[in-house]
Amino acid sequence: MKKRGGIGFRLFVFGVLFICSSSGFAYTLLDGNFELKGYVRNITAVRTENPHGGLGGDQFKSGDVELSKSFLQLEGTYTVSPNVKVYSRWRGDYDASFDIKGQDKFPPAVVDDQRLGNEFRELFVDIRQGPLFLRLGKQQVVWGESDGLRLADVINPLDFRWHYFLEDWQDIRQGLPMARAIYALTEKTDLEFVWAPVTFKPAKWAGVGTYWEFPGAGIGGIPEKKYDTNINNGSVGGKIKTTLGSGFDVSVYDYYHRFESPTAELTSAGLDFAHPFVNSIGGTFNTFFNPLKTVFRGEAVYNSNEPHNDFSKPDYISKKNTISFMLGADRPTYLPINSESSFLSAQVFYKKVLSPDATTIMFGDSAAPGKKDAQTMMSFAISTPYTYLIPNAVLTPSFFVFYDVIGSGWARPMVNLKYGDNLSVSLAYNKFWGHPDGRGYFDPFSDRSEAYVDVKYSFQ
Amino acid sequence: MKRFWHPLIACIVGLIMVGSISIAYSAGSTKEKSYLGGEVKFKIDKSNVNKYKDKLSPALYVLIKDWNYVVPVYETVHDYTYPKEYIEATEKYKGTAHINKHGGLENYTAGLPFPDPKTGAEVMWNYEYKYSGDDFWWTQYDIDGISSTGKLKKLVGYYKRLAYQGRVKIPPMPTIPNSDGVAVKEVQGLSYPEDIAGLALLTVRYQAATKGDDGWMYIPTIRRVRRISVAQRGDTFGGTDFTWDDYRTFSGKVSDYNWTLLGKKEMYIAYHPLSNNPKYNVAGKIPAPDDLRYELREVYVVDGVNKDKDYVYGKRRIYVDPDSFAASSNDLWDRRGALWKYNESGLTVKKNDHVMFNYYQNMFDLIAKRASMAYNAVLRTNIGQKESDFTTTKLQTQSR
Repeated sequence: MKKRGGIGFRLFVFGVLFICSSSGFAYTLLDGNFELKGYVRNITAVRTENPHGGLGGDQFKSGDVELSKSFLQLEGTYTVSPNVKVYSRWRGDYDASFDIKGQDKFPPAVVDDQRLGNEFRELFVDIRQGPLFLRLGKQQVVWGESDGLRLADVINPLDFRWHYFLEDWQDIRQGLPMARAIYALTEKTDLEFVWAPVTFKPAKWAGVGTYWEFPGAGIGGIPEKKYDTNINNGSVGGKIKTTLGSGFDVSVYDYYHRFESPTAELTSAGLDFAHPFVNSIGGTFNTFFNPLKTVFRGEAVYNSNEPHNDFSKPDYISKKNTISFMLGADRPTYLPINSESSFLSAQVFYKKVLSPDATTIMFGDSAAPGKKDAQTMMSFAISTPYTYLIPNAVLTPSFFVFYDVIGSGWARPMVNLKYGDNLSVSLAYNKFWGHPDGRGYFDPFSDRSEAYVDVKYSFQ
Repeated sequence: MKRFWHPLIACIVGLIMVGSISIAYSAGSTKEKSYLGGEVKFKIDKSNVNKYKDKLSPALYVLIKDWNYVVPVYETVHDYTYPKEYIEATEKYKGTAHINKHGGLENYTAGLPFPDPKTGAEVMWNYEYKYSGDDFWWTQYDIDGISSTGKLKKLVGYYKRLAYQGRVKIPPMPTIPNSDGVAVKEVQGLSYPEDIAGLALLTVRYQAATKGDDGWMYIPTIRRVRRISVAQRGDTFGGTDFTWDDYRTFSGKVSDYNWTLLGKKEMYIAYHPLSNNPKYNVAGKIPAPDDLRYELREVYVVDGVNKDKDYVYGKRRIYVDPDSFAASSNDLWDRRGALWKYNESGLTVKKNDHVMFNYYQNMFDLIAKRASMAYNAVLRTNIGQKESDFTTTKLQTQSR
């Protein structure tokens, strides 16, 4: 078991003191070539309905604090020369909900894994030489055009442990040691190459008894499968992006990688979780259509050999080809509710398993009768900033909803207040609902609705 | 006991480091002083404002009368000159440019499009194509937001611009060949505060009046460049009192407006400011300048109404300096017809570069009683920026 109050905790305390004892802005060293910025943040969430039973997180009742996580993030940038820059991002965190509920309510391994943490989430060097840009080191690489769901954005696996998929992706992507090269062929066209040579990390899942335990896991959680640092576990891909005419952006890409989500596998040693290789070929587009003052964007991906569970197979794994796409539209629009424009955004997602069989099932679906080889979701978002209501502050109410057309969904009304340069406070409610037959992407979370407050003080 | 000492030692070491780093604190050493000084001839303040009312813009009059704003008036100095290449181009292409039915400029090559402007649109196209260098870069500027409670909100940003037309100094001249009819590309970025640091917007403006601007924004929180609509240029810039169209006194698309020339008139306008870092007295909750510099100058007075009925301003009155065709200030009315804001730039002459430069720019919200002040601006002109500095790839790779 890890020592409580280890080096991470000390760094955390040091960091809090650092923030509290300083003022002003622009923390620089080395003649201004090293810049430091960061934030302290706490998010505290309360369950708003009692568990329906049979799923993870049952020990939390309505009104229980299921998350109270505090962070210190430090972000340093060292400009070595105009063409060379080193960037690092370190984050320490402490989740007080384990102590509020009582550490003895959780397996010790889960407490060790999730209560305290600290890591360099990114550490890389940028090198620029003429049309060539290189980024080497632990980093995040983001492709795609979608908001809220990921199609092309699969290069970095996610960490679902502490707030599932409800956070900004950059806060839950796991950094991977990678080489990323972008070569500008022309002002409109560039080639990109990404190689994670020796490392694969699967998605991380919350431990047994935690609120965000994978619903229905019930089999001792989903252990993080460790992969050797080995060239056979690397990922590689490339992308070409160009602008057609004046303003129609397109890209095509291919990425060969292990599938981040686990698939149960029966091996000679017993039940295990596997992450077989998948090849993702896809494309994206975006354009601004002036007559409608609207941005249209989209992406599509064809996954070959995506693993699905089929317990009729000797190893429980059936590999399927799938196709997914997203079409979206964004429009800033003046509404009578605000003198500033409001941002409206809508998306449609579709995923289909090609050559399905009787065992094919989509994420979130139950064994209830019905077609299970396709999934259609829609999303809508609106946000509108008020810059005049409160002196020195911007108040932004926002709302979004994701809806699986089968009949489950997720909605989040939120109010964010940014006060001055440094303070941000958000109040929000994550409402999930499911389908009577237990179907739909969001059905597994149908009793996980929560209200939360998110306070962040940033410094620079 | 050991557990107690380790964090304590870490904290002590940390506090020592904090001290060191705090000493290294820097807000940027970008202050500049004007080459021009002079004596204050007189001051216009609340006590004598009515005497000068007809030579003050309506919004500046309200500022002096109701905000205790003081206008120190200095001797008028005419010392701006165009570079010889621009004068030659103006002569060479004189009479070729014209304004089409959509309000767009056609057949423009280089130089001042309308050396003797007769309409509001001609004045504004002169403003758009005044000599600004073939490229320029505001390496840094600060914006302080001052609310009615006197609190400060700060932004730090930069701005880069590459002209595709009217180039007279750096090859290719007079245009950068391109098949898309690009007029100008610009990048606006923010480096403070932390929550929006790294945000950068690439805008491409086209020559065609009917073609809207294209915009791409690198958004640090989503780690990617996102295509955005820049149609709503009436939105506030980073929560300040400036809108995107108020940038550089006026940065809207000229053809998006119907312009009316009200005439040429002597006015007191901010000119030759003493520094790019004017001092303000904010103790009284509303900012008032201590060391600004105004001159009595003849200016073009032009009214502009945006063709979009939903546009944030009902009307914009812009004051354009005939010497340089730079704009010194705007009065801004809301859609109900109420005088809303005053947008003023302290125009200074960068003699070596033959450009006019906004040493500072202030926006006063007369209704909400708040203001935003852009200052500490530093300009570099004709530095040879490349098209590759204005691409989505550059946006993506210059940040994390």
